[in-house]
Amino acid sequence: MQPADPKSNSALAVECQHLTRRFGKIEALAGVSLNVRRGEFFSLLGPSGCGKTTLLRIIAGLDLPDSGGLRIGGIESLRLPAWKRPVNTVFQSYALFPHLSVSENIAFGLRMKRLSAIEITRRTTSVMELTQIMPLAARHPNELSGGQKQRVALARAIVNEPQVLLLDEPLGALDLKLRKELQLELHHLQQRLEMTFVHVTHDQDEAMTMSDRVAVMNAGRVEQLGTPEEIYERPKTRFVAEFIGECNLFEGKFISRDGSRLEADSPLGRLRIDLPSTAIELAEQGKLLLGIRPERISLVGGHAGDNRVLGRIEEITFNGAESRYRINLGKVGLRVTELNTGRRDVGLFVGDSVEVALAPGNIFLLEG
Amino acid sequence: MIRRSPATALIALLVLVFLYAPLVVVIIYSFNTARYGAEWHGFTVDWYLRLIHNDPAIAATINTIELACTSTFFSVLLGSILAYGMSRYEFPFKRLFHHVLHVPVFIPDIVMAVALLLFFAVLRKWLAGFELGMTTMTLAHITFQIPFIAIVVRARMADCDPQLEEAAADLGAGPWLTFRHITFPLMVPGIVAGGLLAFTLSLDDFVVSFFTSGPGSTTLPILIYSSVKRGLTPDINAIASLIVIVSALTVVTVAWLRGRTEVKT
Amino acid sequence: MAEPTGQTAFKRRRRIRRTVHFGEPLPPGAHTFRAAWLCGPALVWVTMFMLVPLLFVVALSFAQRGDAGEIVWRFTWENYERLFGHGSLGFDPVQPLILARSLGVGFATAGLCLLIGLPVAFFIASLPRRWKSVALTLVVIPFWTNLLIRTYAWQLLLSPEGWLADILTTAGMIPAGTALYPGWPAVMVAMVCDYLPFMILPLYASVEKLDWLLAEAAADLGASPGRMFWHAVVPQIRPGMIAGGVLVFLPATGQFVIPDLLGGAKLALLGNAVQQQFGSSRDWPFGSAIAVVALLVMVAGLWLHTRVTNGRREVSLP
Repeated sequence: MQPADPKSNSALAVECQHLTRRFGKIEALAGVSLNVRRGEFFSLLGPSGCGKTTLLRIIAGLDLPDSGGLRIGGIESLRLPAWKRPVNTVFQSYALFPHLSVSENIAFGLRMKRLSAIEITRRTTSVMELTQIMPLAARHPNELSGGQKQRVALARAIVNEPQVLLLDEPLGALDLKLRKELQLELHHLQQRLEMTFVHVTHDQDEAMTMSDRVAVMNAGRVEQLGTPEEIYERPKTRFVAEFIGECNLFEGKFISRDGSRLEADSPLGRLRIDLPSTAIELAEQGKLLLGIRPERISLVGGHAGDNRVLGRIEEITFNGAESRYRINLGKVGLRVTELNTGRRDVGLFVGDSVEVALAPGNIFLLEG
Repeated sequence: MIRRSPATALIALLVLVFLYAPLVVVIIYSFNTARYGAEWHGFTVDWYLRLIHNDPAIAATINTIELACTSTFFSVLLGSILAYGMSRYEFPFKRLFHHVLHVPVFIPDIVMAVALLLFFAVLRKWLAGFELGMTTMTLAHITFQIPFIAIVVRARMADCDPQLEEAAADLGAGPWLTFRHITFPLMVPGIVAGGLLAFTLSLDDFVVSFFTSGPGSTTLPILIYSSVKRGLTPDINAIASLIVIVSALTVVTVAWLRGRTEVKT
Repeated sequence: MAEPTGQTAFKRRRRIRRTVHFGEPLPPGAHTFRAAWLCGPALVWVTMFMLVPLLFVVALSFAQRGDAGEIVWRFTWENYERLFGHGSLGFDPVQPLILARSLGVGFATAGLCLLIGLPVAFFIASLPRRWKSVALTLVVIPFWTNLLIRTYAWQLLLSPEGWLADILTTAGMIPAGTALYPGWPAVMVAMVCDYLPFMILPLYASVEKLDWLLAEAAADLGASPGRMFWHAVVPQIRPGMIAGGVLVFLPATGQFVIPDLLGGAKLALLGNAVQQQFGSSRDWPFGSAIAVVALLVMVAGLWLHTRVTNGRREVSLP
């Protein structure tokens, strides 16, 4: 073991510094730097093959980067073998030991630490109660359902009280209903244990509902890192805007700037855009990529100071809680989603002309 | 779904009769009172009782079992470790070695037999201890057993997710503990099945044994061959029946073992 | 993004040359080193007791036989010339005939096994899951019992006093007291009986994977059962047919016990020729040349087998 680092009780649970990893010609990680704070639920979100699982395996010690640095709890960890790292993993395939019973599976990590039999029984039992798998204790993995296996895999990892729990698509193999149920449970569990969770998923819903912060990854890079709100409300790149939620994207041309207020020419006409301070340097370029979420567009009314454009309703899809509209604005179409609050007196029909309002603060500017 | 047809069922039944006719006939004749030839004279268990006083047969039995046990012990050891290494490690020329390993499986018995005969003859010129006998037979048997064990154990390991071993490491088990608590227990059914098959192979082998045996190391198959060649067969039927039954039981055990462990994973 | 600051920079960024093996970082070379220790003993063993002896055989096949049967290490092609009919008195057909006969027996056995094995494979594939493994075990049991004993059993079955001879005599097909061996029919019957399991197992494996939709589509398009089988089924099970064919052909060609016990002296195959040269004739160099030919046949068969199974030459062990 390395000597205790003075910063070992630092606020950061995991620090990744410019990690790169190649598999032959494929660049799985192209220089990833990110920090995970102690006690947070951190998600790595991205399509398959974006490098998120590779990153997780490097943190677990099951793979090594070609270059870069890694600290876990402030301690340099790349040289530590997997079994000496204070992390545990919930594998996507669960990887339960087929020849051991559920309780033996859960006790495995504690046995490897040579804890006393009494201590092992105590902790195994309390974890099985926590994850509600007490009745399954004597069964073997092949006698469990998918959801039960998932709970056992989770219990087997958290019983070791790791500094960081790594979850590799833990809910990926389950059906939708069970997934929703376990999402909530996982979230509560994390808050109760105050353990750092690093969670890998390709499911944006899962990442958004459970996480404190999300790193959106694409092609071996972190595209954006932030809270779910930040990522949704202020996507930084085209990839993030399109990967998370629905988005109207259109090109624009820079005209003028006054403080954080930007004017741009676009297929929708001249638009006023309010920018947060971080994006302003981008705005000086000639060509701009603009976006707005469908539910941030109002069809009737809006506020003073909104950009207003005239259009015609081309299609309406009624979806119970909400209605989706496709609006033709001449050169471009816009998707608009509106909650059916029942507050509008007159219904809208296909062919109606509407005045679309886009608030300057709701339009965002994207890189590439 | 494949439709079952009476025609294929009938053929399958006939094939079954065809495959088992030789085994059944040997067992039936082992109860025949006739001393020579294939005519049926009457029922007796005399031939089995007489085996107890048949010294050459007893010596051959002891040789056969000793040979099978020794060679299986070493081949299980070498073959299982090989299977573990080949399924969990990458190394240069692995494909080439993979092919080399299959040579003893496919080579005609007789070619392997004369090659070893020649090899031992050459060795004898420089080294003592390679006189044809139990030692040379054991060396030969280990050689053709290793690949069978390696193949069976590797097949078993291919069914086991390597992620299990990663999970063990993740849970704090170093390489030795991972092997002891995870890998080895999962290999055991393969090792047992491979060992039983290797044991049967040794028990049944005639050609290689015939060419590498020396005075005093006659095994049952060699004894049977020389008796058949000389036309002295009545007590041979009893010995042969016993061998057939032992082999059949072994195969049934292996099949049962596989069926049982398959469910468990 | 505002991160908690005050973290020291990572020391130096260097290339990492280790590999991870089940969570264990290994320095360069350690991986191969361990593999060598694990696989080395068995591979060295097989090399030492299989490859080296075979090299000796190849070398010996170019040597000469002394007058007293001793080996004279002088290079010659003579053994191979003899093998292909070069006799002291012009063309001598004995040796080429042995080779041709062996190949013929091999092909005939493979063909017969295929004919008989196909319906059996289809039947097993049509069984319910539980019975499949029972049927496969039944097929496999004879294979794992002593070949010598089974061959000897055919002597009993085919002997003049045996039941088969009785039946044929009663049917008037053969005169009473005729033995059904030695001879071609006896050899072939025993060969097929011994190697049928080798054919049924790979055949069954590919029948099991058969896509019947294709066959049904062909039937829908009006193909006759025969054409349907030929065009929609055979292409799908061809790998199994070839794999089974090779697995039967190879050992059948090199068989020694069956022709020895059931074929008599006139029906010697390669195996018997090798045995004779190493045994009574004491012409080891010539015997080695025959063995080398048998080896070449094996290599050709294996090459074919590897191609069919796309290099995944896992022997489908019973």
